Amino acid sequence: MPHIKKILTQICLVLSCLLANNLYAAEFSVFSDASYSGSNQNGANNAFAIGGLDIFINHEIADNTTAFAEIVFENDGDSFVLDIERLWIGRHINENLNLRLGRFHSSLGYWNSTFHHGALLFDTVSRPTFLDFEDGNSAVLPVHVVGLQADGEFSSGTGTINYVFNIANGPSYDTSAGLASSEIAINNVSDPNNDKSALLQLSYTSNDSELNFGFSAMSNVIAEAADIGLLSLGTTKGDTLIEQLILSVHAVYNLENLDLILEHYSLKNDDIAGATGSQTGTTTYAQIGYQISETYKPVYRFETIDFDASDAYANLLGTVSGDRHVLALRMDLDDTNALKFEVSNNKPNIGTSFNAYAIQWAFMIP
Amino acid sequence: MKHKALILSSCFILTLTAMNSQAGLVVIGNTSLDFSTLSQGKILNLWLGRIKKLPNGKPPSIIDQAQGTSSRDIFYRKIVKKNESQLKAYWTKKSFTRKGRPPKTVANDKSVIEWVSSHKEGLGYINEESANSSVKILLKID
Repeated sequence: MPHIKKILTQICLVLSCLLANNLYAAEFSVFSDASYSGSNQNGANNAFAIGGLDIFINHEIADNTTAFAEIVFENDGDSFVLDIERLWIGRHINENLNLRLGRFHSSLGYWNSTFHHGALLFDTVSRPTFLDFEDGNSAVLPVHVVGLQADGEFSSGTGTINYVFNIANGPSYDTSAGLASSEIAINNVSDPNNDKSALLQLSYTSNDSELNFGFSAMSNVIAEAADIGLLSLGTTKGDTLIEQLILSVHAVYNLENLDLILEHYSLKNDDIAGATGSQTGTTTYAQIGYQISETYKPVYRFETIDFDASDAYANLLGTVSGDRHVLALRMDLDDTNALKFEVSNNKPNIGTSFNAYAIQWAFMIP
Repeated sequence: MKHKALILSSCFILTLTAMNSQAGLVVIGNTSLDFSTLSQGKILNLWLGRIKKLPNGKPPSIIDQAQGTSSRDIFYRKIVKKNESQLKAYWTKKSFTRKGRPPKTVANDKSVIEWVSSHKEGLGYINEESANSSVKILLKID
């Protein structure tokens, strides 16, 4: 019965979206994909898969007031679940200031706040592993925040300086079932304590959009989400597990057919609940792509994750350090769909290396 | 005699129609703009939101014509080189990534002129014959 209720609610939601689209001419579009993948990792089977069904709605509901929603139906392994990925209302005050309230993609680096959940928008099949979403197996960063956002831009002679500032609910983690057993919780409707996350991003984009670079800083207090946490930690709900400072730099260069993306993150994690002290881990990726023709674009990406074995945050999430090489070919069939082929070589520091392949057909319904 | 008159009138109307359809399109700007021309490439990038500044360093106030108008058809075919479905796909991606939204639209040349003349950084396009002294012509599209 609860399942039926849930499904009915979801159907109603989608129907509401469709009605909103028809009645008020809101922008309403869909992104999704289907794929086939496999690897030579022990126990892995090759399989077909359907991607998340990403529905987004964007509408100026009044002068200078915009509402935005991105809803994704995705498979969590057993069944499809509905996730509200982005949901905010915002007011455009002037060019220098917009105020928004709701749930956003964290303005950390470039990829996360550019490509979102739309597989069609990026050139490879996979995201860089450490930029996985919180419910993914390789998640490292809190890629969503729920709170208040101020953003805007200032013109300089040669380009534009953008800023984004967030105050948001702090992330939490349920340790009751042990380390590496849960996922980073973004806390959409509550916060286990009063310690808020703060995030600032400053970036520069040249007038011709060829060059973009930026810097982000985010402070988090990661709280215990369980009423009674892991016995060895002795934490209860709201207790601080880790105090974290994330610093990142990114640079993007688009020159005619060539594009380069580079992102580097440093995560300083202070173990408050345990006794491992302070550790700093780093994650980096560099990607290069070259548009050979209107249709074909080969891409290469190198990723690396480097956490100390005693890093409390990496141990909490079960993050495995290592390197990854990704080679992909994007084939644009039209403005609305693309075929992507990808092979990757994965070298975790613990365990054996493996190769993987994937074919994805990504599309949008504009 | 009646037939002759009918044929002559038809020819006259057809000639007028042909003359009208040959009239060019012009990209217009507010008269206070401190530049007098814009290149085709610059206009393309401004309309697609790829560049967000005018040569004077200020953000443009761009007005578009509604779907179905002949001016829009010519403009997008000759300058932007995209059809309506390609445009929709383009702006959907821009909107999803919050990198921009399509320009606002109005119904006809008269409304474009009103918009452009009342916005200091106003830009639009109209049929050449509709242009008047309240706006300045930045580019002629044949």
